[in-house]
Amino acid sequence: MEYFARPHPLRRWRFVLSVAIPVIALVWLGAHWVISPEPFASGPVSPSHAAFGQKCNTCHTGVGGVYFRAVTEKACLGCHDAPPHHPNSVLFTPTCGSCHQEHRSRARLIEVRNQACIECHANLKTKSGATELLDVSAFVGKKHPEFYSNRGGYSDPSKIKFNHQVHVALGGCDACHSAAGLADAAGKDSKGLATLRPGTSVNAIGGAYMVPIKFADHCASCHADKLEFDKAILESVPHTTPAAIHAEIMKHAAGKDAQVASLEVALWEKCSFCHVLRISDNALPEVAKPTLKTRWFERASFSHEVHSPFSCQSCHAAAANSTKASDILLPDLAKCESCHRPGGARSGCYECHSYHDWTTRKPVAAPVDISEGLQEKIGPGENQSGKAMLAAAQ
Amino acid sequence: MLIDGSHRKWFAASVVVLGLATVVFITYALGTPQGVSGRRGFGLVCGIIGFIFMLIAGFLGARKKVPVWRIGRMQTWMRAHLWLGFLSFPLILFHANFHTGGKLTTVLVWLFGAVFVSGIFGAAMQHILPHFYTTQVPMETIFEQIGHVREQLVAEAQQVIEEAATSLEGDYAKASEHQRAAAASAGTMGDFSVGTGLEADEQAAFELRKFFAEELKPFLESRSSRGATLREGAQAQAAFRQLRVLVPTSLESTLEDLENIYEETRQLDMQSRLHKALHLWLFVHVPLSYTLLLLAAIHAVVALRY
Repeated sequence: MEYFARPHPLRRWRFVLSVAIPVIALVWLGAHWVISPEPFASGPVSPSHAAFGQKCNTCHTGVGGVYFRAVTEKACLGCHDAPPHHPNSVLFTPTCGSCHQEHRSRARLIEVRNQACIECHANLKTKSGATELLDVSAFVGKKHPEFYSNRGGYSDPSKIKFNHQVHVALGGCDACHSAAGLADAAGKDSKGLATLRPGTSVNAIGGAYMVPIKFADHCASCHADKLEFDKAILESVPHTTPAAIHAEIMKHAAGKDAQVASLEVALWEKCSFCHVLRISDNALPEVAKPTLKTRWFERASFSHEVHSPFSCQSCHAAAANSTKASDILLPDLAKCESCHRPGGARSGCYECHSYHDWTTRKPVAAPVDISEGLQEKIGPGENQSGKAMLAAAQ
Repeated sequence: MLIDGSHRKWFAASVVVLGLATVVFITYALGTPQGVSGRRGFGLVCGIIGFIFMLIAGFLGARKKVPVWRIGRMQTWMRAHLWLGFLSFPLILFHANFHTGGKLTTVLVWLFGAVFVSGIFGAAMQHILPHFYTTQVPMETIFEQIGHVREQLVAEAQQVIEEAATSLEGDYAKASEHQRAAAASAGTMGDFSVGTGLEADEQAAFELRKFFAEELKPFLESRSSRGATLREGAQAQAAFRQLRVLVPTSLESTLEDLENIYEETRQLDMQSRLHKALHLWLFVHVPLSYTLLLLAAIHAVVALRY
């Protein structure tokens, strides 16, 4: 009966494995512990913070001693400026880490979950209680309000008269519209005015918004840089203020007083072909200053560059048949949804909207210089937020 | 351990806990800005509870090592091992938000997956294989004793063979001169072939020894019946039938003894195979469980630090 005294080979091998495998695991971890703490991280560091390498204490500056060294707001704000989000309206301000989640994946930290925005915007309440913003709970499925200018009752504020149909038929969209940056790349005519090179595609030039349309830069490339007038008096007049134009005409109409009245009428008719005029009996007409919009999404951003693979007509199909400048040629939300939907292009809030009010951006007080081996200079356990890191680097 | 009606309460409690955890997880995942994070809130709670369940499940091993400990019945520990171990896996997945995370956590997730799957496999085996024991191995013995029993069976078979062969040879030695002369003249008588019992006995003794040395003994001594001539049941039956033709009918009981020894050995082989099938999963489950508990504890300590 001595078989009880010695373990069966199966049991013996199980015991050997039960000791060997944990020991191998410990050796693996121990070896990494010496080299770098990477295996202990809860996930890969985002590319934005990859420069800090394996120095966990760069961000984990919590004051809990050995343990509970969480990432504090101070650690983030030491390097990053983060203008507040409507500080006079919001009911609370979340921490940096609650939206920008590190150690999740190689994704950019800016890619904030929609839920972070929807938490408030699905049923928006402000300190004052009132808000003009409509609720939004998703981008697709009619859970995002239609673009403001497409909601009806909105009129084009450009105060200019323009027939897209005629111009698109003649030269296409990119004869006039070019993404920002095109002006530099465009050629100049003999008079120093910008011209579009034949065949230039606006989409080939980077830039989020279209270059503002100006008479000299755009209209004059086809129309003369001076306005045609009555050849009997004056072949053309400069494209300038009513007073200057009127003075020019009067100068040439000397001795033809009988014609002055009719000339003036003709002049204002010429102007009103494109401009909105306010004519009064005893004064020169007042030309409404054109305000051509270059940015139609006032609360969101849009990049024409990103959408450059698509033709203008893909989104602005109505332009080809538009005869009035007051026509709103912005595509509707459904057009965006046709691509930006689950399973298609990304539809995160952050793609178009910005949480931080970057108009109030301030320079970072103590930017980190990592050019000279910051990682080696900063020892573990130090508080390395902002100034501390800079001091260590210096 | 069989999962039968006595597990009803454990099953119900597990379903309730898993259902609740799933609902809360989905609510958190869809309804909170951060989703589920193992660092805080529901994710942290899942991690803590899941680890406690893992520890309780792992404590079964210690409880088995020291059966005299009066800390709950063994059956209760077995049930806790089964159901809490089962529950801990989804809880830890909720804790991890179904992400593998860093290197250590990735290793933990894969280790846990292997432990979980091997555990499920083992539980399934324990439901399927015992049926084979009762039908295929009625002569079952204690597994650790099989080697010892086989040694005894070899010795017993050798003794049976020797006794039978000796008795046959003894018959020949004790024969009278007349009998030996008759044996020498044996051959044909008229149209009939005739032989003598004396020559046949000597031949039978030789065949018995040969059968034992070349076929039965290798089979009985082999740790596994693989490679032995008698490994096939039909082949063994044919061999014993042939042996019956060769030996006198007076040795029928001897042959029956040999057949019983053969059958018992065959069943012990079967028991060995079934035992391995029933326990080999433990080679994965147990070492990986210890590794999992160790690394999970390290993960918990590191997570507290950061």
